[in-house]
Amino acid sequence: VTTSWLASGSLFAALLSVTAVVVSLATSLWIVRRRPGLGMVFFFFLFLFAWRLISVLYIDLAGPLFSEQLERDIGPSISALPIAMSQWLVIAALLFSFRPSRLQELLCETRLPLSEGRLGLSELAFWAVVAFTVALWIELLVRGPIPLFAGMERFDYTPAYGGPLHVRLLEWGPMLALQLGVFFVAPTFRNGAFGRRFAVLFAILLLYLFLVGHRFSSFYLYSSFFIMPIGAALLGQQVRGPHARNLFSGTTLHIAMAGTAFCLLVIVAVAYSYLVVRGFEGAELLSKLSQRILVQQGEMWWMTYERVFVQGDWNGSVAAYKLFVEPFNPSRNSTMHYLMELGLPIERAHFIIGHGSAYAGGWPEVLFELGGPTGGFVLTALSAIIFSKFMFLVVRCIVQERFVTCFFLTPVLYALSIYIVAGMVNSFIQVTFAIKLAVALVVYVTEDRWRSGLVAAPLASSPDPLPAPSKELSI
Amino acid sequence: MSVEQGPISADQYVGGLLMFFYRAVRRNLLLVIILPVVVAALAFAIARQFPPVYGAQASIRLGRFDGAELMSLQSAVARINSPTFKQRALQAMNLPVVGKDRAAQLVAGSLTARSETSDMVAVTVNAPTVQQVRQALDVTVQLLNEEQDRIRQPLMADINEQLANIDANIVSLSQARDSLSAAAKAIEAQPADPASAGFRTVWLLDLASRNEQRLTIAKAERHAMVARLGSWKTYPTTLLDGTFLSPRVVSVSSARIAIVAGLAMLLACILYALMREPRGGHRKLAGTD
Repeated sequence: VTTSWLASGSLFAALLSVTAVVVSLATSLWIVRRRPGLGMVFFFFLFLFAWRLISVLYIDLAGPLFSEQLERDIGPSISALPIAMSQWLVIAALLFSFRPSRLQELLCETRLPLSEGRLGLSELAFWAVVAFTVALWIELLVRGPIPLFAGMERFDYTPAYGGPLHVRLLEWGPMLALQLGVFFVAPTFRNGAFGRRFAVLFAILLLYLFLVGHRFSSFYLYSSFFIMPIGAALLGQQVRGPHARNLFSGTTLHIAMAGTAFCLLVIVAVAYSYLVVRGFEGAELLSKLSQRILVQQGEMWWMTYERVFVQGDWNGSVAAYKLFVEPFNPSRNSTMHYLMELGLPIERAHFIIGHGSAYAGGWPEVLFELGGPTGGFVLTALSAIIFSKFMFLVVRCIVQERFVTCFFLTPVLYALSIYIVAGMVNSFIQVTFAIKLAVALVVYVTEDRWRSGLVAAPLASSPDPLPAPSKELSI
Repeated sequence: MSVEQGPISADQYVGGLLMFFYRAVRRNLLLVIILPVVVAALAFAIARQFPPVYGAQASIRLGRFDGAELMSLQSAVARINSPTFKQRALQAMNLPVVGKDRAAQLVAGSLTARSETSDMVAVTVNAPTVQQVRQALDVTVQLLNEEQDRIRQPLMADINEQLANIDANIVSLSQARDSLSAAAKAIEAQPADPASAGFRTVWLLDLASRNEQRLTIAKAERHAMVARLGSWKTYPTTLLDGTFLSPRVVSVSSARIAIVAGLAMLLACILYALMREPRGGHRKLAGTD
């Protein structure tokens, strides 16, 4: 680590960066500690926010340092300040949307007394996922080598050996994880136990990902979506107050065991990938890890900061054209393609993208490339409001057991999540997204109207919104 | 009311939901069918009235002088995308820079460049007619060449001056060669002291040899200078495959507009039908039990 920032007298700038990052991280920690339900719902975003901030701060303070991916020196600067401010806007919008008084309103509506019927949807969902998982494992065994044992990268395995079910899992896996999380937590809304069989299914999917060469990012993505419904349930419990049944009572040991197993799985996967598959060792291993952990998450933001804030070199119409009208590959995240074209020699950028790779980041870079240093914050605020409102709707659907709407909101949630973490905006102009949105809207209105007819006055006026405990919920 | 307080099974829940949707749509079936069809037909008819928009993407190879680029790729892209360049392009096309002229708005709004390879720029432009699309691309090339001429012309003048000097030198040396040749012949023709004639002949031959060397060097210099201006090292900015460029209709087709309008209306009608449906799902649910 150099002390160039100190030597050049920019101590104030460094302090500014550090302060911005510390405030942001402290807010996230406060959410996790004081409002763990919210922390679980937004773990996917808070974790990535923190990682990117630390990376950007490292570049700010340790720069100039060499970036392997960009093949140039980056830093120092105060680039942590604007990205931290962007994150504050999102966190502020989320905290406002999920303010306690609003959460109280979630429980005002009386729940429908759902029960096991002739056709249990949880049964149906369970056996459908079991069938898919079995077929997935059979496909893995019959189609070729198992990447973990063959020392193969996941991005080499998928085009060469990945079957249709494997590809479907990679496309829809996080959404499947969310649904598994919903079914896992749904019985607790009726004071039942967790639907552990869905957790087992989820664990089997993680094991599959481990075998096909996935490392940290997939486990993080799938797990974040799986715990979202659990966080929503926890929010509901917190709102009900101290009299509510502790969601995790009697499960602490199981949670600790599952968490330990998960951490071990990630550590083994990362270690195996770096040490065996890629064969890094010694100083090279440390260099690769420091690039991966401390540089790559923040380097694209630093490039945007340098371009937009320092040089004033941005063109919203060109960015919009490249993002929406003529991206390099319309079926993938055009934001990162555009940022790579801006930050790298064009041939190199196209070579990397052509091989299916893309760098980390994208949000809020895309908003500042579109709107410039001032308009970028306006766009960030607008998108933060939309995102927070939508997340509240999702949590509302889970807590109020509007599971049909929740199911159809999942693809929209996934698109929004990918936007917040990777800045993908071209998915919003796809016809398929418009159809998903329209279907979700129709389903929401249908379920809302129909339920409002079912909830009768005597139930609504009941002092305890929770009905009597019933056997395991079937949704 | 008793059914409201009893537990609802999942199949009843989903079934009731579907029935509610079915009832709402069935009750407003005419509205849900006719209105989207009418709106789609109207949209189709209106969309047919809109004049088409033509567009094309062309590759422009940036000019070079003596193998060196006169304008970097990034500069060319930035220039074409800049508002001032677009204004100049409109002026060159005899289109109003201000106002609401459709052609001017289309060209200014769509003229976009991006880097394609290390020396080629991909330019996209839309215009109301095929001719205007071609003209916009030609004007883009012309303006780029004009900007590059500011760098190219001094360099060209310098090389031309050097060429003129070399040519003059070659002429001078050629004349000297002829003079020396004539002098040598004159010595041979004059009867004189053989020793003196021999010395003078040797001296003249030495002069002729050195003159020839300088002439050869001068010609080599000229060749190298001309090579710097050769078509493989020095060329203007050009539109590649310009003659084969065929602008196509890029405006959204009337059918597509009609489908989108119809679907949007269908969505609105379904939502309207759902909102109008009385909240009485529980009564129907009772019947299914």
